[in-house]
Amino acid sequence: MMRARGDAYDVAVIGAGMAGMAAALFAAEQGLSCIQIGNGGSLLFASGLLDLLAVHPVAEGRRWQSPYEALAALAVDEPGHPLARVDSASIRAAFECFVSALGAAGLTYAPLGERNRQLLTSIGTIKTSFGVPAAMVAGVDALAARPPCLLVDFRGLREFSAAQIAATLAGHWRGLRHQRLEFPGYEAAAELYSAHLARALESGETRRRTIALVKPLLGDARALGIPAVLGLARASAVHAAFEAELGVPVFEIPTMPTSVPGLRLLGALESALGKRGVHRRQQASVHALAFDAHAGTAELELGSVSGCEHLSARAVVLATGRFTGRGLRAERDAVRESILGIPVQQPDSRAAWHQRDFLDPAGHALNRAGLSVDADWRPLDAGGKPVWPRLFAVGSILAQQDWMRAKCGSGLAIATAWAAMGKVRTALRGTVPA
Amino acid sequence: MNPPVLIQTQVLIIGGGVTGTALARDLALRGVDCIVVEKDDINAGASGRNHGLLHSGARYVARDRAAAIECRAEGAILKRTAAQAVQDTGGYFVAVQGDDERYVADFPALCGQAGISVRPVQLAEAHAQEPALSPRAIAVYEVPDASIDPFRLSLESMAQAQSLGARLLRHTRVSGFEREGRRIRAVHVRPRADAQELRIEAAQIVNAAGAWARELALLAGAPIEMTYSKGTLLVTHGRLACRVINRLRPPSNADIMMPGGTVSIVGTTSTRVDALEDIHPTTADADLIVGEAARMLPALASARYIRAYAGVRPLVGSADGADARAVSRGYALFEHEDQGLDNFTTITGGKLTTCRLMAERAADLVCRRLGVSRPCMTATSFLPEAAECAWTEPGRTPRAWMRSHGADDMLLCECELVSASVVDTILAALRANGDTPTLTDIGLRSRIGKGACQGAFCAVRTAAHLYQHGDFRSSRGVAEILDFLRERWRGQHAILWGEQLAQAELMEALHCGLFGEELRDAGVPR
Amino acid sequence: MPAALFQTALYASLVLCALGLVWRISAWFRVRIGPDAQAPTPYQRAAAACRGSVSVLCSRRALHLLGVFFLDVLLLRRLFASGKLRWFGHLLAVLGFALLLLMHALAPLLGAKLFQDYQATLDPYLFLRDLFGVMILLGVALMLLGRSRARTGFAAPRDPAGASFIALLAIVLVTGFLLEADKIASARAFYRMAEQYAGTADPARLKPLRALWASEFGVAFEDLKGPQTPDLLAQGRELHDKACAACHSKPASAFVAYPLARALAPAMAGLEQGQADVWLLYLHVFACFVGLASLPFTRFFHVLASPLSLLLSGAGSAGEFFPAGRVSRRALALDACVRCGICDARCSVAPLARYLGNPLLLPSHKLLATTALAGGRLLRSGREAETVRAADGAFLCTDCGRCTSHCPVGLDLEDLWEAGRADLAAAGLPRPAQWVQARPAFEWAELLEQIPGKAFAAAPLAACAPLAADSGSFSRCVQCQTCTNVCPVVAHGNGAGHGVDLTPQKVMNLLRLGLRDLTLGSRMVWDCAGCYQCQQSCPEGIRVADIMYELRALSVQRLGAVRSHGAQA
Repeated sequence: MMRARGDAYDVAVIGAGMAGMAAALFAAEQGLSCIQIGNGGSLLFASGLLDLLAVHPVAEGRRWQSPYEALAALAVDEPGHPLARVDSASIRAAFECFVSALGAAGLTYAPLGERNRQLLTSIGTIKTSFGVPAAMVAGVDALAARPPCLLVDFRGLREFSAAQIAATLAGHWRGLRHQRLEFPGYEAAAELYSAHLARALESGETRRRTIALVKPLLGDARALGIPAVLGLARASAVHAAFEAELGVPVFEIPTMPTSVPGLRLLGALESALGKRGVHRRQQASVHALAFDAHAGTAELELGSVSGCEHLSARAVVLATGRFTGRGLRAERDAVRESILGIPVQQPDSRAAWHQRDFLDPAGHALNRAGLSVDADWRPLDAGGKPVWPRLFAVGSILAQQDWMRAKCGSGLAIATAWAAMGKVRTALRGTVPA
Repeated sequence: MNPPVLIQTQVLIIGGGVTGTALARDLALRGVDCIVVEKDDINAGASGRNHGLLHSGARYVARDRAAAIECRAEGAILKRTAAQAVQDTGGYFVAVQGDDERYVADFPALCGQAGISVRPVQLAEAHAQEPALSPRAIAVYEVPDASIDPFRLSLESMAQAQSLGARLLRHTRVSGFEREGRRIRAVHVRPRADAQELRIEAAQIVNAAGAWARELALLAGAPIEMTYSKGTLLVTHGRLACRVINRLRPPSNADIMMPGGTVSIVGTTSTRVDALEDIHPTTADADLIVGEAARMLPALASARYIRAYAGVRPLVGSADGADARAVSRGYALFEHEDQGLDNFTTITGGKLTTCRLMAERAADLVCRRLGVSRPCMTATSFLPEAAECAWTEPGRTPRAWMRSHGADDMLLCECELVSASVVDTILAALRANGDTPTLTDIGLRSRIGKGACQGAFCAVRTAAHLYQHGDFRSSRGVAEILDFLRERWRGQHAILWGEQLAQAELMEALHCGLFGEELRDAGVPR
Repeated sequence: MPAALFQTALYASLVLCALGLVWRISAWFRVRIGPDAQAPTPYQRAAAACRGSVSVLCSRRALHLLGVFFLDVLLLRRLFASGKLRWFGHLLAVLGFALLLLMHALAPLLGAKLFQDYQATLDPYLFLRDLFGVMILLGVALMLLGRSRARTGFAAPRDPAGASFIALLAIVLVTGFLLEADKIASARAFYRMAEQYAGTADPARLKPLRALWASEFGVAFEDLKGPQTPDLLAQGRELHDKACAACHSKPASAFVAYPLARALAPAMAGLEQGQADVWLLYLHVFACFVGLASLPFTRFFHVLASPLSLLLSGAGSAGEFFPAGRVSRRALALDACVRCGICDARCSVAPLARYLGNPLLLPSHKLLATTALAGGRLLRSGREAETVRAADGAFLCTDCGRCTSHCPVGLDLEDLWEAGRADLAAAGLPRPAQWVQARPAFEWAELLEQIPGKAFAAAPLAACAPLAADSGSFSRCVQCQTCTNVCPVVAHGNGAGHGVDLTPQKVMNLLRLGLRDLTLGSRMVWDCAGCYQCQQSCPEGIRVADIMYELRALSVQRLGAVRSHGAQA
């Protein structure tokens, strides 16, 4: 990864969401010099769970216990789906690499295995996911075995009600109790914020007091469910302390944004990228992207509040996401890709974008809009040819997938990033460094 | 099957919109006992899906002077008696290049003839006062238009009526009329959740069901002719103008932008429809409104819209052809005696601005038939403020919260700064009426869900709050969140582009991606 | 001029100057700025200064100081960095002044020693004298030009010390040129000299000489106007060579005085009669003496104060000084400031000064306000409005330090501002962050409603707070609460039990709802630590922290108007 200042990077990853982070990580793992542009916005909303594939077909709402079997069915039913174009071995490798990088950065995940797992959400529904943080995995077991269990919440953490979860599941989980607590040190506050609580729990004093509040309430409970606020940077230590002191498995329950597990993911990935020498430009956006045929590089012009910057890269990976991430921009007449105006596969008119029922089983047609890519993950221009030989697209910006309904967001990001990065490396071998 | 429960009253009012509630108030002030039966909730029909414009009348001076004069007079009455629901913002009539200049020229005189005060405004002054006006404006006139909150109006009318003994049955549908000779002996109604039918005996029955008046009249055996005209309105993310902005031309689509306190409301359209089910804004409606209104206010072309809504205007009479605008917007009072009924009345059509007058006419008729001689009081008697009805006013909750709030009073809706104590006030009133509160009920009586996030966050917070109170049990919360979001979605899907689409995407990512609410077995582990 | 008068005047001026110097220098140890100035007595401060100076001179820094002396004091390195035109002007003026002083004013004492064969009427001294005079004029003109170019949109603060100095200089130079011109053109002087050196004063016999002198030496003879015959001139030249040439070069090289003399020729009769040479001389000399006597009270004093300031600046950071010494340095700063306005040009809140219409945000004006504060002239009844404006100006400083780093005379302005603010706070004029807290945000909003909208017409929102005025800056908000979650002020406040009244998310929502006035007096806006976490973390790229700063500035303007309104009511 020797790169002199001013030289072109091997790869520029535009986007710092799940796909962008994965792409940058895999690039670094492959020994490529990499610069990543953008802030990790979508990761702030991440629950911490790594979905692979849980629902297929979307219209039926059928849930699968084995994501790999679901992927096999997907490959048959929707061969154009991005996940259908990555083989299982690669997906396994990609996830292993991703999760172990997180682990090395201090964020431990339960061993991946072959099956999906089910766990509670903060409103009492059941979420099916694949990669589960170690701090949440006891919840999977508890949901399956349904022992006497205590759920706690904190007054002021407004989107989380243990009473609601317990009431929603009352018919199916008899031993589920709930209790509202006052967060130590925050008794006078009306509204609490999860990140503040997480940081507060990293202090021994607050932790001790919280545990002291919970302990007498445990009774016969053989598991404790708590909102996902057990620490931020030192989450494993906080979780371990809770389990050790309380003597029962403790599981975090994923929350609405701002999600502390999302912040942890962001922190762990930033640390992992930092260790691997990936350069980053947060809060910067790409104002212009041009391709220099002679030099064989892409020229990027970045803008931020502090000014303008130019850099070059031999390959570019678009991981800019969809509408929230502003990789795609929807105007009244059409959806456009934000940086290069790459043609976006989309319904004919806006009238067809969304169904009238928010929860229409078929899902909204606009969710399947996105960039078409060739077998090498390169987005295509109007003539069906790759926009540029070494421009790649990964993640949710790709067409023919509905990650929110199929519950395959992280899988889509990680798998396509892995597959595309393989193609990036192949493509770069063919170029002569400047 | 149990025999239906019997309720007796003097007057049964069918329909809880602005007319029905105004009528209940009018009758209650005259000492007449009445019950309002509403198949959904207050202002579920056109009463809750309009511009909120308290007409000065200037819009109708060319085509319908009588209506213009009526609006002028009624507008003045409402400004005086229901001041808390009215924002006297004033209005502009604006013509842009390309508009009919003869209409512009005739306008002041026509207003004068209708007694509507109108003042020409210099373009420079108009632009200084309202910077959002198009640079292509050619003429501007100031009129005494105002903005009225129909929810507050109806809720407080009903609250006053209830304080005087009237009753309200929400979510209660009329299932049949028991007719005997020239009288309706009783009306059968069926509450939504409950299977038990109710039988209401009333001396007089008033059909004030707005657009549904036609099917009710049919059910009662006294059919009337009505046309349904669907109108769509869009709500912007922030307020663009302080005054009502009208297009100075013969009434057409997208002529009006209302100041809605903290937002602007733009519209409207007029499309003939044949059925009352499944009315929702379409992308075509939205594009039409944005395109047309932007000629008067260019910022609308690039503004963020947070929702749209569509309602059906009840127009009395028939219209051949698609343009329902030509049918009179005036109201109609049917006595039905020529159809063989002596104690049935239908009052429908009309405008929000004239609701009090419509109620007065209907009440006069009903009282004459009842032999009650007390006169109408609503033209002069002030509408009392009710604590639980005040929260629909935009900007009120933030001010109240910042003025003072309890140390542990949290905000359940961040977008509109609606606190838990406001929700508790609303809940108390609903419970006092014997109702089981729903999230939608709370949304109707406050600004929860009406802000930028359209319920993505506040629905969850409010549900959690209701569990703490014990108002929600078992899996009701998830079902309520779903209902609430579905209802908000009706107003979303036509305007999802740009920034609002990003917001909607986040909502789906949370509620489907994380919570999996769309899955049939969302709450059940396997 | 009678020697006795001259001597008396000279010694008197010297004594006055010395007394003035003592007074002014003692002010450095008497004037109190800052709370830490209350304790030390003037004696303690003077002693600390002495100790400090001695310790620095005896340390290794002495060599560094020598370098500072050459580079900063003599060569004005800092001024060169900030304004080359002014640097050049200053160089011209200083050189011209010093050389004129040495060569001309001190001629009796030094002239001959420093300048070989010095004779006022000989070349090159004729030329040099005028040259030096012009150098001074040109130098001052360039400095003034440089200053006017760097205007910040406000008039420079009133500067009597500078104005009076320039006036005196002007009088000295102008009278000097006039005097010289008069001497050149004076027929009477000619006759006097002729009597002494040519042996006669008879106009007829001196005619050839007179002719020469009229045509080539600028003397205005009544009877010898117009060109002279060559024969006469040749004769005159002979006489000249014998009697005059040894001491007189052609005055044409006095390129200012000579044309001036030519121009004065027609009026010479009248001037001679009015004894112009006498009163010009008196004027010239007395102007010099007045300048000398008043030296400590005019801009000239900076010749002493500014190099001291530069040396102090070079001697080490403020922390190295004895505390009493630091206090004295502040008082010195008030004298060392040369009102160049370079600090104003670099000030990071200068645009805000324009929008708010308050020049007291600018460093040069703040310095004067500090001087007034120290002299007890500010906190007096009848001057409340000005005091409030001064306080506002003081507290809107961002402490960016640019004024200090660019000051050509090395003033430690940051320290001065901090001390001044402390004094203001002690006098009951606390930071806005404190007086805002006197009322809750809602109350401020209600009071603000009573101020007529046109009160702010001159400083419209779009200019004062461009981000807050443009709904596009926050319309992208998706309500994710990240800003609030990463905010340490909210975290701390909630944990400590006193909470903030709003959070960053609520502030953005209030702006969106058009309820901006509710935010202006809020604790959140004023307690914001400016850590920029919110802006850095926002997934939609909303400039939350920048908007908070704008609201703060807007709040000072608008809530400040509420305060003044209340003060008048």
